[in-house]
Amino acid sequence: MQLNDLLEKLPFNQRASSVLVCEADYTGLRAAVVARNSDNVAVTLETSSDNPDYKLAVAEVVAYMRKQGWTGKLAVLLTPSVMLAMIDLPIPPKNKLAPTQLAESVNWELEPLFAQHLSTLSIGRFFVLLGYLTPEQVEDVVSQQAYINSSANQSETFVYKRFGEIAIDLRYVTQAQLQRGLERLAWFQALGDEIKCGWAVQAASVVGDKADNAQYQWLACAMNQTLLRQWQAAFTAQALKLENLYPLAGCAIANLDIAHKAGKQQLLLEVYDSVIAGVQISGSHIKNLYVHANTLPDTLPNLTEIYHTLEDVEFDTIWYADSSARNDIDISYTNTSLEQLTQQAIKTISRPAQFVSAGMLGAARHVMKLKGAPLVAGVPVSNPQPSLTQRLGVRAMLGGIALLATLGFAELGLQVRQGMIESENEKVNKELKTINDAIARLQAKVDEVKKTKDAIKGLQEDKLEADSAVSLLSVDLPKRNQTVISFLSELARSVSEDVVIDRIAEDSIYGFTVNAWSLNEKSAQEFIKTFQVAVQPLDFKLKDITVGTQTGRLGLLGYSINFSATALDDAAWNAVKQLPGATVPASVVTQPTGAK
Amino acid sequence: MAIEKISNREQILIFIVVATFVGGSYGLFRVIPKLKEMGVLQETVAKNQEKVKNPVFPEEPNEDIDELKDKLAAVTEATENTLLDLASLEKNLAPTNSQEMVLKISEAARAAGVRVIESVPYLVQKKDGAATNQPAKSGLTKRQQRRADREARKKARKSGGTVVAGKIISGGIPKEGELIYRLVNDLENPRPFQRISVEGNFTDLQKFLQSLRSLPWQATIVKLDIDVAIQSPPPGIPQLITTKMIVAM
Repeated sequence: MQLNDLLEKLPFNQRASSVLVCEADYTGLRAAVVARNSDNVAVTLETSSDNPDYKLAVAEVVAYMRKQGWTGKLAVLLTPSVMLAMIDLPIPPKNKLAPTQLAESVNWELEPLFAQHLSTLSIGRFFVLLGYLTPEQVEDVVSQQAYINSSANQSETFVYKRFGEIAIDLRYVTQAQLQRGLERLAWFQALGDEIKCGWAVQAASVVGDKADNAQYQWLACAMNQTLLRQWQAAFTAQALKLENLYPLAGCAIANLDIAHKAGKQQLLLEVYDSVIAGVQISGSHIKNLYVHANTLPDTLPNLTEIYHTLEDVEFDTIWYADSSARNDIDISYTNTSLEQLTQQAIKTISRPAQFVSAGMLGAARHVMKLKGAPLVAGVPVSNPQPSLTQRLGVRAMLGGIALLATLGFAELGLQVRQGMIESENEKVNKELKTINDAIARLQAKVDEVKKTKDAIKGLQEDKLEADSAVSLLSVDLPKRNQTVISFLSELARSVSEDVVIDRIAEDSIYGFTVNAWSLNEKSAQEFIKTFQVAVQPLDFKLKDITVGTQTGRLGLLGYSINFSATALDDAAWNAVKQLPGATVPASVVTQPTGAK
Repeated sequence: MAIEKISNREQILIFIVVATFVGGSYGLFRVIPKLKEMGVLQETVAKNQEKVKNPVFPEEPNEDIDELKDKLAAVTEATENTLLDLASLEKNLAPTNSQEMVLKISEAARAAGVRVIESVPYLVQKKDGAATNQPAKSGLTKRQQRRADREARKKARKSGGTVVAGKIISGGIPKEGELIYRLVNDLENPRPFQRISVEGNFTDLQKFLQSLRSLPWQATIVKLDIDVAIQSPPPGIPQLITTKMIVAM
């Protein structure tokens, strides 16, 4: 499926749901509102007008449809003015040509054919179709016209006689008939060489062996531009957009249920009052197309001629769509004749409604782009639009979509990546929370133990301090007083009559320093010895004992006695003696305990 | 319209320019900040993964918390008991800044037959430099304070001593290990000290020292110096000695 096909299916690009299909021929204008019903079409309204002024006829049918409640804006027209033909072009179905270039190629091929087509729209044949003249009368008028104009050409005053004037002169038609006929003819024949084309590629149809010389079959149609604008104006006046103009014969094929089986051959014979068409369908494409001018009496011979043209082809199915004004008996007779001619059953396509031909439904299918549309070609009223993919707006939209899609993919990538990271983060956080909880529990236990230990330590320190204070108050202080008293008492007992105490000084570290005087050396030594023994229970030791001669009181010669009574042990004593003024650790400053 | 005639090349160029602007803006204002944010998040994830792989658990204590609590309760009880003992002992101490204790000492001296030469507060500094034995702010007015001092001197004279009112002797910072040091630093309420000089014979001095032990509050001689008077006494008269002592009250 091509991108264009996809774009065509987009909801906003869908065609109208109903369309006004008009069919104009020499007898009048028939119109029907065809609505889309899923993949099919259905006629909802129909009417006709035989007003010779087709502009007024259009107004009448549109007024009727509006009155019936139709509110559509789109219209198409089938008219014998549109020529239909198969042409071969060296342009493949998939090409990059701009629509204008393709139109030029189709125009080039159709112009000669269109000139030939104009001959079927002559005034004589037109009058025959209107029933004003017989074919013989037309031949008579034409011969008279040729004779009169050629003889007049030799006279001095040349007056060109036209077909109508001669027909009146010959009393074949009245002035009123001529006027009415010309008025109708003005909607089917116009001056000017400009034509406008439409086409539909028949993709698989390739003619030619080599790729360079390959020719591709295109179903093409054309119409005089002046007539096209005339019809467009008629519809525009009724606030309708005339979308396409279709040939009278050649559109019914869109209604067929064509099997897409390759090689299957089918024939559609389509009959109108003024034209007859034979369409050979090979597989799902049109292979050959034959369009002939027709008159009702010549219908069967014309059909026979078309069939014999394709006599070599063995058809699987032959379809017969008769949209002429003939009655059912005539149509049935023609059907039977065709079955006898072809020796096979003919599938008849009846008229969908009184004023609706199979071709009108085919045109509706084409404009609604339904199934069968590729087998129909119409002349577009508007200038051909490039394919959707070549339109700037569509390209901008596609570019925007591509850009948004790219950004969307990039954003999606970002979101996916972020989602993965967040998922990983969540997972890791969960694990981490478990670990942190365990650590917190353990830490709380550690903290509690530490706090308890600190509290114990603090209390123990407090207890130590309190113990120390208790010891100080309850033991050390009372003992101190006792020590002092005992020390002095022992000193008093140790002193003999030959010894006098001069001075007792106490140092809080060293202890007591005693200075005394003795009358003789023996008494001095006895004093020292006695005192030493006396203070031993008090944990005092005598240190630095010196006894030397010294003049005492009253000028008597005697001996000085000096010593220290200390509670320090030898090591501590030596330490404080070597470093006078040094702080003695509390552990070595022991209070004497002997004073009991 | 002219816009419909834009060639394919120009359309592609316009698309590239628009795409560049849109893509650039998207990248600049969306992708880069988002990538930065994701980078930070990823870094956090990596750090957390490292923490998960190598968790740092605190060392589990060997001690049993219940045992510690039991020990704490026991220590608490023991400390409280000790503090109760301490409080009980502190009741034997004289109220700080109490002149009553000084008076009791003077009375003891008089009773023992020694003469108080000097009785002054002895200021000792704690190890942190704070002074102890500060003169009490008794809450008395100046007049009341003078009257109280006068009464104290009168009583001291009656007891045969001399009180030097208002004089304070600074003893400096005691050495660690000294008894004074402990009295100042080991007790919550440092004890006040009084330097007392007395004169009398040795026997009376001993009596005085003995009488200190029978005071209503605890008084401790923390330092003692004894000097014998230079002049010899007349025959039959005991030798006078001068004793300087520092008493912790």
